[in-house]
Amino acid sequence: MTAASPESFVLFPLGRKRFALPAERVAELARPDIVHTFPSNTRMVIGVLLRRGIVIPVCDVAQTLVGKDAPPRKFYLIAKRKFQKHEENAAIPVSGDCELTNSPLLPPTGKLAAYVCGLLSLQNEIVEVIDLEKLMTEEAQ
Amino acid sequence: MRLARQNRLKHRSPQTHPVILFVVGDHTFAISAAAVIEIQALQEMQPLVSQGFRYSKVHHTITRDGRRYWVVDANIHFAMMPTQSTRVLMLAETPVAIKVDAIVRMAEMSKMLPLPDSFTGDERNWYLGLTLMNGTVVPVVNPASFLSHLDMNALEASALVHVRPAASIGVMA
Repeated sequence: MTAASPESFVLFPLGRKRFALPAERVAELARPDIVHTFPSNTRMVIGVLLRRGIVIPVCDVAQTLVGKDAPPRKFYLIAKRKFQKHEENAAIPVSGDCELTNSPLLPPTGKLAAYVCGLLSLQNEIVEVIDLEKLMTEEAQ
Repeated sequence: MRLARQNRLKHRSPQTHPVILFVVGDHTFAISAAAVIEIQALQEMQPLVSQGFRYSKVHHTITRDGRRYWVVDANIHFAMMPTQSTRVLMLAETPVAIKVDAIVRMAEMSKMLPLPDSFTGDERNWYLGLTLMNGTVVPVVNPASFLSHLDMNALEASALVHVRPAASIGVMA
């Protein structure tokens, strides 16, 4: 059995913990912006950002990933979500600077949530790699 | 020749669509002006007589030209906390009126953007899309979402049930 070759991931902080998304699923890191809200009842989708005339839904995953004590979110990680016929950008509020890293994706072990699609073994921490579609779909159900 | 064409394009007004902006709680909504036939004050409303046949978001009716309109409380429809309503928007296509806090103004909608697919809840039925008004994102409400035909049939049936006992007594007498 050979070790998996390194892949690119974007690490994002939510308080003390960091999570990762595959770099290919990340479009950009955006500065704080006004969240336009209107009545809706899709869980985790709290409103929209207006960026360059384009409406981007804001998917706040913090409470699901780190619980009720989620820290204040400062930036938005703009990630690509897959739908049946197209992709859509979604803004994920994060609590600090993000970082690009290359690391082999290790298979998830032990009791992990279904939306964890793998692990990264970094210097002093194990980082969960998030499958955004699974996370959002499970939450919607 | 080329210059003339450019000028023609320059002076062509963009396609716009008149909408009415209204407020419920902290939120502003837009509705196509063509979907509304009249705006009335709350004084015209009549409460539904029996608590028993109150349909969750319909507590009043309003009559116009002999036609009964079911008044939908927008707060309940959009799952919002109660606020102070002052106006009723009467819809053109269905016997439905919407109780709202206030009318903001008429406006021209230049573009309607689709609701992002990340929204998967009731809002997909509530809104036809989103529009921009002075840099703010405003949802464009779907007039058909307030009461379905099924809802209206249920309301009509409830009203008939309510009326029947009095009518029966009259016949027996």
